[in-house]
Amino acid sequence: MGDEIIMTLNRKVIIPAFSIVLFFVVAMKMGVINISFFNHIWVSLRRMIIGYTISLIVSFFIVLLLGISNYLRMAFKPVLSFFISIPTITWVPVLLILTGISETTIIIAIFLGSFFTIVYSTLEGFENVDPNLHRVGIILGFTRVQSLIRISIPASFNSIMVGLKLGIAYSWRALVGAEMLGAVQIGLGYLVFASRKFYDIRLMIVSLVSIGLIGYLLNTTVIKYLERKTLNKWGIQ
Amino acid sequence: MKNKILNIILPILTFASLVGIWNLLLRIGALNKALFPYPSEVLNAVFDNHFIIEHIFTSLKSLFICVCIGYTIGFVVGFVLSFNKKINFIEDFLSFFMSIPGISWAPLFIITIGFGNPTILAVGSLTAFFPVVYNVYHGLKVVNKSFHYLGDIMEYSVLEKVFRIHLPAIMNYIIIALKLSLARTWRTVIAVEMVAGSMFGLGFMIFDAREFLNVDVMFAGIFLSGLIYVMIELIIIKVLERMTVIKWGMKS
Repeated sequence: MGDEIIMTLNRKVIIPAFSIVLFFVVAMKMGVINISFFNHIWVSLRRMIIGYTISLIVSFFIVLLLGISNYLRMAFKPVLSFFISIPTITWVPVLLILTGISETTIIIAIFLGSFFTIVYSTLEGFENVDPNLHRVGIILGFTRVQSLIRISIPASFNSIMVGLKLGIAYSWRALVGAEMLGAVQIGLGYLVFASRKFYDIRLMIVSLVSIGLIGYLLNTTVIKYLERKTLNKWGIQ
Repeated sequence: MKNKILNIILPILTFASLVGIWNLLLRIGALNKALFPYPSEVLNAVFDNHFIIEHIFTSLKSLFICVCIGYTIGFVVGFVLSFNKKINFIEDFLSFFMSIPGISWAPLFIITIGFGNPTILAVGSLTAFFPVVYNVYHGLKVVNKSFHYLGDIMEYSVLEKVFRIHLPAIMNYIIIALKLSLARTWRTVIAVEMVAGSMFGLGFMIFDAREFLNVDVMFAGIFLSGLIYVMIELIIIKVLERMTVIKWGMKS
């Protein structure tokens, strides 16, 4: 068991982390990037963290609101699934008009990228909760909010995790797209797009690969950590 | 029965009330009229635009071509990759490529191929390619071993094994691959249309309308792109699922 965890850790976390460091060192030695490249990465990550956190907080409250009643859930699920199928990047031109070329545009794009997915898969998880658990809640005399927090959310944690995972992936995509269109002077997406203007293919490829690597790390490390803290500890998965 | 009716009526009511709230907010002036169109204006923008069919058709054509190219190549590559049992890191390698957003390939292809349609098709095919390889490879790897023994017992030839055992066994993954590649390619095609400066396409329509502050056209583009994807999923994926996986009892 312990060996297995270390093996998967090796494969999923340590090797990618090691390769990303190696990649940056080689790229710096070759003179493709300098220290300011890390500033671009940091700014992108900061936007990602802010946008994703906002989306987590808002979706938590929306889920509390929609999870209380079955009818509300029925009413809003198709609406959510419609909003999921709208490509996030189509919002960016509208946001550019509304909020201007600024940090806000990108953060809202990240928010829109993950919010609907998280809420949708959480609600879908609520639907698949074992009805016996709800009966236990009735016997114990739970109120609606109590049964939501103490039964529905823990029991549907599997699909909540799926939603969080998809949310991170979609937000990262939205971030890159928004940074390309809403040309703020800094950020990884901006760097890919700007290096086209300077015909700097090496820089373009380096930033392309680092977008991929960081997306991959976000998707594995963060989610793996959360999964180990929750699902594996509770023995759901 | 009651639930079924409610399942249809409630969402319609929600959509209607959302549109109503949107209208109301504009009427009382909570939203800026220069920046937000009335819902009726959005509808007008769809029906009055002479090029709307052209835009939709171009995007759909790109989507179709990209998914065909990416899916075919990806399927073959995934099948071939699954023959080797030794190399484990292929899966990680593929999932690394899957996590590169499609649009970030666009500048590379703009430099090497140039603006316009070829870039859109290249980037789209690349986006469609990786989910298919990953899913086919993964599916063939986790398929139940006893199916292989069954093929040996029945003395199937290699081709029979492929068509009667391997393909049906990974049907779930095949459909997930199609779904993922459709979804991602649709997003990417629209995004690349914005960046790579084509003449038609929904993404181009939205981005072009921004220059003239045609907010109604922009919102029309947003809702159309969502609606079209919903239709694609309903028509292609749901029918395919009902024909295969649900019929065979692999998924309820």
